[in-house]
Amino acid sequence: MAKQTVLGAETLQRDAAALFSFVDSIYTHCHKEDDESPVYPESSLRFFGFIRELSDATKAYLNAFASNAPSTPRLYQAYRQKLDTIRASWLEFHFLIKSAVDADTLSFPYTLVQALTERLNTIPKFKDIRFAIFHFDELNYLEVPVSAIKTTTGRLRGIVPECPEFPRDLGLIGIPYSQSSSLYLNLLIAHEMGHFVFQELNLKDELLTDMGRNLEQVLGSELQNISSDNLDWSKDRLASWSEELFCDLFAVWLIGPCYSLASVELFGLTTILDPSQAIGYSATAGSVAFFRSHPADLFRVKRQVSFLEELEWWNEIDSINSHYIDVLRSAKAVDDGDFRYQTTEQDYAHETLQAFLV
Amino acid sequence: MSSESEIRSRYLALALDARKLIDALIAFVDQEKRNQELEQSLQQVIASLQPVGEKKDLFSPDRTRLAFSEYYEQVRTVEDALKPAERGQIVEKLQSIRSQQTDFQKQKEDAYDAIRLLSAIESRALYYYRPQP
Repeated sequence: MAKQTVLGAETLQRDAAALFSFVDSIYTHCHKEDDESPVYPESSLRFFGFIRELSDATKAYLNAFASNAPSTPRLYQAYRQKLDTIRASWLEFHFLIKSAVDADTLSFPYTLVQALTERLNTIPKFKDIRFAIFHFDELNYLEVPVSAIKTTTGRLRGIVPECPEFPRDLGLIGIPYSQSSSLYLNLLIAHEMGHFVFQELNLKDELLTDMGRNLEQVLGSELQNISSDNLDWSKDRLASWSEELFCDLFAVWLIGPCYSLASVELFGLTTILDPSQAIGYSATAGSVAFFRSHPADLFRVKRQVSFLEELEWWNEIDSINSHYIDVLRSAKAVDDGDFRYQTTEQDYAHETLQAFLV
Repeated sequence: MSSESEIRSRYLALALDARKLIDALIAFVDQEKRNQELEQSLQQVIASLQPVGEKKDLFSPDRTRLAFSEYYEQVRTVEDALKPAERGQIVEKLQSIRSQQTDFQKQKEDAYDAIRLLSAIESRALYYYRPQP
């Protein structure tokens, strides 16, 4: 049997060099400011610039990785593993950079994004915010995880010195590439802006106490018998549903009823209309079902209608002769008791839903 | 369902938070350096990992500050990576380093143990993060 290579500074150097090449290969895909085409908005150029700085800091760190290794051989393995974590972070960026490169100004609704951003900028705290756009293969606008990059870069700064801070006034929005020219569906970008606002304002922290109180109200003394990880599971569902609902209402505030009408289209909710029923609709199983991360489609639209009433939009649209408006009217009539959340993942799904509806 | 990539990002966040403390502990045992970074990381990780006294404490924002207990997937990953006894052990070791009430050699040994346990969490989180072929 061949003798195994002795692990040490030389092998660390080699592993760090391999990672250096990987980071460099991602870096070369970033658009440079002096490239003439394609054309990107200023926000995307800032994103590329940020990734280039991040890449420079990572490569500088990797250059010295072997020489900075701890002198104690007992620490070798723990130190070496850091390369895997840095590599995983760059895998995350790799995915996003391709998506950003694809989103030049000819490939996404630039004017619409600009108009929505200007509306957001009327809020003093968000007056300087700009958004970089990403193109994704996923059709669903509501599941694009671009906010995760901020989390990752923030944490990477904790382990790679000299990493730049993610620009505070830069938001990230992903849109499905196949829908870039669909005005109606692109109005859902307003929902994505809601995620940015929710996270910037740390609203989850503010809601945690309410979530605990609501669960306590629903579960009563049973709360003490539930394992911590089951409660963590319930907390995650409540937090996720709350954030999605906030984003919907934020979008309604931002662009009014267009958002609700776009939601009806995206969710395909016109199928609930049923003239054979006295009430004019019959909720389908899919429309009243809560998902792991999102409230039920009809629930979301129902809450939007309530908010449209509060904002005095409803009277403006109620008389419009459209089956989309009929869907909104039907959603308003659905009883909260009709909503369901079924999962095999945990035993307290029903109670978790009730805590959300309290 | 949450998007798969969003959940994967939670595992990456856990690996990065574990790594931050591993780095500070490596500097502590190798260079015998006790810096502010170490103190701050110890405090945050202990708060994040120690068992909750009352169920309502699960909803405290302090507990969700780090990725050891921010999301359900992260809590489960820590449970998968460590044996039940090790979960209590890691908090004890970190508290011992933080309090400085034992001699330095003992603190170093505790740091070695904590590095081993945190590396196990980091490794498991990276395993879950990687896209499966």
